[in-house]
Amino acid sequence: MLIKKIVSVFTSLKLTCTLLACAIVVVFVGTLAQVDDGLYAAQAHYFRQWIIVGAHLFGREIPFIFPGGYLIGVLLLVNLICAHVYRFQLTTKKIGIQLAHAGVILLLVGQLATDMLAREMQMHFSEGQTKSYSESATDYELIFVNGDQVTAIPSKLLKPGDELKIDSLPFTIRVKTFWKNSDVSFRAPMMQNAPPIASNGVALNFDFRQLPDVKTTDEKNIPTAIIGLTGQNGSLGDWVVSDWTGDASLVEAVQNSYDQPLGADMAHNIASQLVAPQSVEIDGKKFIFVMRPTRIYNPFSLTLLKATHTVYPGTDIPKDFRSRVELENSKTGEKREVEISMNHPLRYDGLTFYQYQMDAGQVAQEAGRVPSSVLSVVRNPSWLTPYIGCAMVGAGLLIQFLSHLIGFVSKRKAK
Amino acid sequence: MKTSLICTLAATLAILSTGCDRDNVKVYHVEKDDTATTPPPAAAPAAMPTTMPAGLPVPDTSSLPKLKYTLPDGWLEKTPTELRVASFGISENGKNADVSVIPLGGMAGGDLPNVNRWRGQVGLQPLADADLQQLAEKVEIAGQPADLYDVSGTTPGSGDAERIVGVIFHRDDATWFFKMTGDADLVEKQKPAFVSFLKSFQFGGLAAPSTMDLSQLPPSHPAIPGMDASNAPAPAVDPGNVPTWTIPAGWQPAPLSQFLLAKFSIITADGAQAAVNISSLAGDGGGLLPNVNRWRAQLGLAPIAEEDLANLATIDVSGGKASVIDISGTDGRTGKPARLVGVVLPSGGQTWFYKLMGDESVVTQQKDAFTKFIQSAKYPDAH
Repeated sequence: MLIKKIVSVFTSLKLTCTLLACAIVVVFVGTLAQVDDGLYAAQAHYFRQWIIVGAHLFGREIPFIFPGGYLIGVLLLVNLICAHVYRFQLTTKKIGIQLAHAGVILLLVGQLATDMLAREMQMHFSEGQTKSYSESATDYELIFVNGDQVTAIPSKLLKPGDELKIDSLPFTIRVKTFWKNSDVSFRAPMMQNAPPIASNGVALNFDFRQLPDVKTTDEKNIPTAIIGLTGQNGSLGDWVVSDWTGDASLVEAVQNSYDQPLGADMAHNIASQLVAPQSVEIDGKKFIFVMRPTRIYNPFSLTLLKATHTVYPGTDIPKDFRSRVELENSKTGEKREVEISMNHPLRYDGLTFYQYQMDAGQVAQEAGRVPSSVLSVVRNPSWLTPYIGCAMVGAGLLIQFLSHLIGFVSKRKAK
Repeated sequence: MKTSLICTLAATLAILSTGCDRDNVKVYHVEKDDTATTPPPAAAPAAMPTTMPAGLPVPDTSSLPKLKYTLPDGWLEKTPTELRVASFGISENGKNADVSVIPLGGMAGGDLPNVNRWRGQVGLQPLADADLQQLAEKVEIAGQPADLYDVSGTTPGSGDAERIVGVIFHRDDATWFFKMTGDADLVEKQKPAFVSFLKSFQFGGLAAPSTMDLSQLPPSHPAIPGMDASNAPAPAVDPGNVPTWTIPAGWQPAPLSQFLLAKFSIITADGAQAAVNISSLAGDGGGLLPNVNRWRAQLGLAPIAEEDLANLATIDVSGGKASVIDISGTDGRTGKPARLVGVVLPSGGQTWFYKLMGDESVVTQQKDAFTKFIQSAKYPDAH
């Protein structure tokens, strides 16, 4: 009896309508919330969420409890599958409706796959530079490099108090502190007199401090950790590892911030000290370590040949952003030039390279900067599912309507 | 139909399990991992952004020793941000003013550009160097004289009346900026309170500058082997093994920075200042010419050529013959006239640098004492 009741709930059209109505509310509220919270925080709070507790709208906290995107999606999927199984009849009469349902199921599963598997990275390069990797804009890793071997530890594993023992490293990493967001300041004369926060490396010349996490897409968290390394014969010392030292754009920002008060040469010296490599030597092996944006290496490389930023004559309105790159794959021997521009991405090896940002044209020229380009690098193995799903839904509905229309027309003719 | 259900579930599970793989440690080999981040070249053009991007940090001042001052009535202490070591807000009848205290190591750009920057902020034209002294009002900070500049105008854009009362104070190797800015009427009203705040200000407890002393190498300094600040070496001499001198009267030991073996400051009764710096480098210390030209650059003088070195005076000292350079010019840090007497002594496999620099009157008065001081030196390895 209970089972029958459950089945009737999960196969009911009422549940579908309720869930779709909920989805409309979540999309509406979640979209409005992006004004205050920013894209990533709103996505995490409303869409990648089972239950939404509280909403932040128009600068106010609103008491609000509602099913989140994950819960609505999963219930819709269960509802559809149950209805599909329960009402499924393999007859030509019903084939259209079955196809449309299967299409919607594919859309839902495809979206889940995108959420779990898709990765959006970035590739920054200046003209003449070659890159064989892309970097994350939101994730970080602590890497230890010994010769050509790189051991990459995602920053999510750096939990204060944890000890990490990794097979490829002859020492234990003790995480003393991990700050998701931090700031850096040069230990300038008259400014800081407290002892350095770690006894080695960059901490001797720079102070690091925790900052509150950022919420908007305009800002980014810059993680810093204090780690202690312990070899077989005891402690090797403490170091600070920070994205401040491993991210070229941040180092440039630090240098620029000291440029005006201290002069270009001194600002450059400060930046050079910030990026001075930190390393530890154990058993004759030298390990250089740094925290940096998570990298994914590709079996091919791209060289930026030319970045073009054109504007409409007499205005500053952008007309075109265009990156001419050389693609080289040593494994296949492939070597060709490709133009990447707005709406004309490069698709290669499961990756899609979109034109994302650009520093070229007159502005860069006047400032004396080498033109540079940022490509958005997207890996989405399920990118085809929305196309197939929509085609199935469209075909299903077409079959359904046509069969009804033909039946109706033939009935009238018969009369 | 069961098959399709199982397929859907299997696909979902597979997706979920693959998605979790991201947070694992990865070990891989690369031909060349460009681990090292390189800063952009030093010759940063003026058009480059000079501010931190949004969301970037404010320097940590939590470790700063407490400065001492008497807080005027109606002033509200604020959390110091950016380069500030103290920050205050004043609000009255809906009008606001802001007070900041900012120390900068050494090269703060000179007084004139800073005053002109303030003038620009209230829509005034830049001043010429000669007019600066006329504009300066004398005030007192921690018992020492300082120059106060009072500029009023309007905020470009809004057109609101705005006034800036700024004080530039040179102390040791740092330049301190005290600035009150805001609504013109309120700033005028608060000016006496600001002046008494300055008088009450004490630098108590500020210890030695840490690590690199920004004032030691001016932006234009030539490359000196072994003295590149980005690869700062330890001094060639063990700091515990420094020479001994007979220290003249009136010379006060001052906090040391990385490149210095000893430092003395001389402050006369009328507030004029000079400093004596002693440093040592291995070998020829990069050569006489680059060092002489580095000193000349500090006073805004053009470099000299190798053959001009023959004209330098020499003095006899215990370690041998030392070259003496005596120049006058404008201090790049303060924008004020200054004189520099430098002595370079190669001795015992290293080179000793003595520098007396500061107000013309003090240097003139102290030059003989400075020479005697150098001649009194007993070098550790000379026994």
